Amino acid sequence: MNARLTPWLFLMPAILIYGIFGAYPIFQTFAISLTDQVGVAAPGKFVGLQNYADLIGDAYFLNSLKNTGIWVIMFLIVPNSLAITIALLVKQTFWGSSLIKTVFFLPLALSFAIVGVVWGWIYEPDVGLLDQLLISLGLEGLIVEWLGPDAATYSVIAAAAWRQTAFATVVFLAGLSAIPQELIEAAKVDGGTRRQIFFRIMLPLLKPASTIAVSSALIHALLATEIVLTMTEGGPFGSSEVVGYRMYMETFWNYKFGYGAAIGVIVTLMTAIMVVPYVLRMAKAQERDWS
Amino acid sequence: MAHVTINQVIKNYGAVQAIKGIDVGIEDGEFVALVGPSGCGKTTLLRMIAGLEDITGGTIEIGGKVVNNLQPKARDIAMVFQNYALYPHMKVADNMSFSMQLAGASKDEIKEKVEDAARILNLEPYLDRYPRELSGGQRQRVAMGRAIVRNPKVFLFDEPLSNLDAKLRVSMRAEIKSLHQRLGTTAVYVTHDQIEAMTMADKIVVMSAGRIEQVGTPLELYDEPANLFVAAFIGSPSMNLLEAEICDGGLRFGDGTILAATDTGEYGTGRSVIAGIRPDTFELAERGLTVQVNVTEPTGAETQVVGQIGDSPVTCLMRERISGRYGDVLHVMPQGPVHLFDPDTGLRLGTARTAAIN
Repeated sequence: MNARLTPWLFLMPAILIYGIFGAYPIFQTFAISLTDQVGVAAPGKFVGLQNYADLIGDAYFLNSLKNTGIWVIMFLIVPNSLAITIALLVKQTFWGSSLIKTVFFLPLALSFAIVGVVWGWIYEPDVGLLDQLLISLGLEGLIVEWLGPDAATYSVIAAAAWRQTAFATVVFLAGLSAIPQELIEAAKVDGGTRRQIFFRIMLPLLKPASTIAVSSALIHALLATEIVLTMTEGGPFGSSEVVGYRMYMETFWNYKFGYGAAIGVIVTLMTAIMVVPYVLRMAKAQERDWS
Repeated sequence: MAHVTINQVIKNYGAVQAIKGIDVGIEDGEFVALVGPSGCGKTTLLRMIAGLEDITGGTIEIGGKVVNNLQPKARDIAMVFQNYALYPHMKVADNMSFSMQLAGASKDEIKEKVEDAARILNLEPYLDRYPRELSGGQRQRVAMGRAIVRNPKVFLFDEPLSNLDAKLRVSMRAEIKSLHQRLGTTAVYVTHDQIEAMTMADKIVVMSAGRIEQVGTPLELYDEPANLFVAAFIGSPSMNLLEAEICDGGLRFGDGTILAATDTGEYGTGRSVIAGIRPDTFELAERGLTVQVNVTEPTGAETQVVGQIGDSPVTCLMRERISGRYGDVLHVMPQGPVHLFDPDTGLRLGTARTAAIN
C-alpha cells in the first residue's frame, strides 16, 4: 500500500462524515443566505448580500444580538465561577460528599428544553416556587415579574446557567483531581497562602478543564434556542429573543429561508471567531504543562 | 540553620497509631537520615516536621521554637519531594524563585539568588526551560535548587532519588552530600535505601512500625546493631542470623559445628542465641561451618554463595571465584565479629570472636 495514501484512507470515514454532515451544510447555508428563498418548494433567486444588509436594519435581529451578547458574558462568568467554587468545596471526601456531588450533577441529565419547562414553573407568578420561597422568607419586596420584559432574559440565563454549572462542576472536579497533591504541598512549603496557591498553581493547571468549560459555555450561550423557546418564546414582545431563536423563527415560522440562513452564517462566524482561537491557544498551553 | 527536636511525637490515623511516641534530637548542621521499610512512619514523621501532617501528640521544635501549630510557610523549611513536584507551567527560574516571589522579594534579589543556586547545581543553561524539557536528573536538581534558593533553616528530603536510575542515583548521592557539606544546613533525609542512609548521613534513625529501633552514626549501626531488626536492615547483603547455642567456651551452630568463641562465658552454657555474622566476614576454611549451597552468584569481584547452615539460611560473600551448585558443601569460618542476640527479645547481647576447634 502506498505509504502516502494510507493515512488518508484511515482519515476517510471521519472526513466523509464531517464533510457530509458538517462542512456541506455550512456551505449550503451560506449559499442559501445569498438568495431570497422562501420555504423549501423552490430555490430562490440570487440577491447577493441583500439579506445581510437587511439584518443591519432589523430591530428584532439587533435586539436578539444584544441579548446574545448578555448571554455570552453572563454564561462565561456565572456558571464557571460557581462551578469552580463548588468543585473546590466538594473535592474533599467527607460524609455525604457523594450525595452532594450527585445533587450538583443531576441537572446534567436534563436537556435545556426540559430545564426551560421546569424553571418556567419555578418562575410562575405568585404560585411558582421562587415567589413562594421569597414570600415564606418575608422577602416579598424582591419579587419581580421574572419572565416579564425587564427580567426575562436574565431569568432564562439563570435557568440555563443552573444546568451549565452542573456540567462545568463535573469538568472542574475532574481537572482538580488531575493536579498532583505534591504540587499543592510544594506550594504550601514555598509559603503560598490558599489564595496564592489557587490563583498561581491550581488555576493555571486547570487549563485543560477550563478550556472545555469556557468553550462549552461560549457555544451554549451563542446557540441558546430551545430554552428560550420553552420558557418565553422570545417574549414578552421579543424582549428575550436571542439570535438562535431569531434564526429559527425567520426560517421555520416566517419561511424566510434565505434570511434565516444569513442569521445562521453570522452565528457560525461569531462562534468560530470566539471559540476557535481560544481552543487553539489553550491546546498549546495544555501541551506545555501536561506532557 | 537550626537544630530540630522531636519530642514524644505521636501520629494517629483514626484508631491506627502510625507514630508511637518518637524522640529524636537533630543538631544544627547535621545530616540525619530516617530509614526503614515501607510503612514504618518515616515519611509521616518528615511531613509532620514540614507541617503537611497534623501532630497528634508531642512537640516538634525547629530552632528552639515549637512549630506544632505553625503552617508550613511559617516554619522556614524547604522540602524536596519524591516526584520533584515542579510546577509544570513555570520555567525553571520561576520554579526556583516561586517562594521568593510569594515573599515579595525584589527582582534583583531573586535574579541573584536564582543564578547563585543555578551555578551551584549546574543549571545555568536550563533556567529558561520548562520542567518537561528536562531529564529526570535535571528535574531533581531544580527541585534542590528550589530548596537552596530559600536558604531555609532545615532541608527536608522525601526519598528524592528513588525515581532516578541506579547510576544517576549514585552520583546524585554524592552531589547532595557535598552540597550539604558546603551549605552546612540541617537536613532530614527520608529513604528506604539503607545504602543511601549509610553513605550520606551523619546520623541514622532506623524506624520500624512507628518506633525508633536505633539512632547512631552509620558505623555505629553497622558495628553494633542494637537489635535483630537493625542487624538485618543495615548492611547489604544483610547480616546472617544463625541459630546457635552457648556451650562450654564456644558456640554450637545448627549444623552441629562447635566454634571456640571469646566473650560468651557470661551468658551461661546451654542458652540459645542468634549469632549475627556479616556475609563478607566468611572465609573458606578446611574446617568450620558447613554450608549447603543453593546457588552461587558471581558478581566479578566477589561471589555470593546462598545456602544453609543447619536450618538457617545463609549468604556468604567470598573473594574467591566459586562455582558451587545446588547440593555442594562448603566450609567457612567467620573471621569478623559474631554479634549475639537474645532470640526472645531480639536485643543485642554482645560480640564474640570465634576460632575453629581442632
